[in-house]
Amino acid sequence: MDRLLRWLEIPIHLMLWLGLVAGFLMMAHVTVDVTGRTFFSQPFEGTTEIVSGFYMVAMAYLPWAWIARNDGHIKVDLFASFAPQRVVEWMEIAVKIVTLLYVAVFTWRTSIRAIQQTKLGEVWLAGTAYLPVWPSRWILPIAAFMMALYLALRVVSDIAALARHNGAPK
Amino acid sequence: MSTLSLALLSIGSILFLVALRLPMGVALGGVSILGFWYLRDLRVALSLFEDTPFVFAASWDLTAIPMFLLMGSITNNSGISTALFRAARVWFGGLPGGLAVATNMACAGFAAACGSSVAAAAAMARIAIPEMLHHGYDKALAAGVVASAGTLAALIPPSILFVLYGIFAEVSIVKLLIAGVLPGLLTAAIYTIMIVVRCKVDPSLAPRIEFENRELLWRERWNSLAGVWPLLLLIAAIIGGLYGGVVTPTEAGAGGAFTALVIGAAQGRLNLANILDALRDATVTTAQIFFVGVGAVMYTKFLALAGVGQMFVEMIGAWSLDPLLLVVAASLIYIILGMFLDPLGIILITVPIFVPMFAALNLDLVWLGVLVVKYVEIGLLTPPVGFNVFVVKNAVGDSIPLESIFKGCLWFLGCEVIIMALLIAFPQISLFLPNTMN
Repeated sequence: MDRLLRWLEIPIHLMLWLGLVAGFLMMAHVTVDVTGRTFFSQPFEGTTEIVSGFYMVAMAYLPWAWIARNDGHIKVDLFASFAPQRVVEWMEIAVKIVTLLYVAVFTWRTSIRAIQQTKLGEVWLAGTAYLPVWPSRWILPIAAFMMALYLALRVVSDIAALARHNGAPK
Repeated sequence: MSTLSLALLSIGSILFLVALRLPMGVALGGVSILGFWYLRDLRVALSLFEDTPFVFAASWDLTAIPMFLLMGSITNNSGISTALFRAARVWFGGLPGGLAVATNMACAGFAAACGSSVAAAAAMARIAIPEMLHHGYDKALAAGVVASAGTLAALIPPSILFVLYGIFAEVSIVKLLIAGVLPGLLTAAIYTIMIVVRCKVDPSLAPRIEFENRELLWRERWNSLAGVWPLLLLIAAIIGGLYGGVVTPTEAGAGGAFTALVIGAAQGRLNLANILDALRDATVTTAQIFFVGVGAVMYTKFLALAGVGQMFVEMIGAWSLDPLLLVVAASLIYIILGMFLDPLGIILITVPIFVPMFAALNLDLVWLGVLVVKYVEIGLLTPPVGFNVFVVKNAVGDSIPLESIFKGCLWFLGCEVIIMALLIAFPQISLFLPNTMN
């Protein structure tokens, strides 16, 4: 199980890095566009569409598995302060399972939509040309699937660790 | 089930699930799905996932968030906060409580490059608190000023919270950003007055720093500006560009991030590792916001389907409520929620409910935005869950106990009472600048 989790590090990091690239491109693309427009009256056609249709979607979703891995969700920590340790540990697992369910449904439904939009060949009108945005639809199910996979492996590994810990003499 | 009980049940369940440590995004999204299932059927509930997340993210308005975050993290990594504090120190250090005033001013300056309070407090805590403690400052004052002045970041543009409020309340983001300027400066000014008066009355809180050679001091003052003038220029360009309608918030953020990058590299304060670190910060925080945001959009849709906004509007019509009463009621709710939830969560849960009520009474939604952002920032300082206090505690380690930091914040919360009273009594403070825009 732990070996699987280690392997998963590679795609998780890869997706985070793609998110970073999208972030850099967003900054560069918008800066070039605004400079061109302001100083040379020469805007870049389709900036708005490319930035929101691709870079933004990539930044918003690709790091999801990384967030789950670092447990970086914004959450409130009141419960842990007055519940016994054992209860807190099981609650953590229950929380992961519920999150896993949510993300799994997210993966399932967004992939249905991605398939539909791919078949339709979804495009946006960007300036005078058509921008194919259907590939961007796939970012959501792929990112969510990776997060779900990570959470599933973590749940199994956490339960195993807790069971081992239970059996071990204090 | 009546609409009112449905609304209350949904909010209650979300708060309960969050208290059980479920991520806010899952709580919001999960409750919305169950709500849709109850009101319609499972097929409709599941179909929520099909378009909502993509359409929500693929939005030009929201691209301001990663760009503001990037600008903040690049500025932060380029060590500008140190230069700002150094400059503020030589300019304001001679006042009673001078280092605390300098911290407050440096936070205000940093706020103009950074859109997140927690990031601002974290950056300033590491620089300013050791310096204040070194000069024998009261620990509660030293920690309190950093935690409190850190909240200026959400008020002075750029601000992540104003962007989110603007999207969910359907209000002009540019106007909101500009509306935050004067309340932010007012907050910094009142904090300064409080610090100076307190330290004048009780000099043991903050031993005076003597600058013996006046001539040398002035030379130091002008020299200190060398490190910060590019940032000051950048700030002026961004606020001016937004105010004049020359650039959109995204363009201001992207251009700001790029300029900060060039300045940092030119001054030799940024290397590749810093830049990648800044990019990672911005990307991961963006993804975290979207994880919560997707749930919040679904919750907004659920409330709309249940007719909650409409119900509140009718209720308010029937009560013929005094607007001031609504503002006071909203204030109490924000203060209570602020004790437990983070700013993002509070805004996303409450905006779909309060905005229709305020709109029904013809109250200005830009003004409401300023009040909401102020309240959630006050929530960063109130126990038991005061995020900025925790951030400062994290930065100072064992040298200052948590209680002292909360105690230090009490004086600033006292100032907030005055500031909020002023902002509520005089909406012009918030609305003057945006109303002069075209």
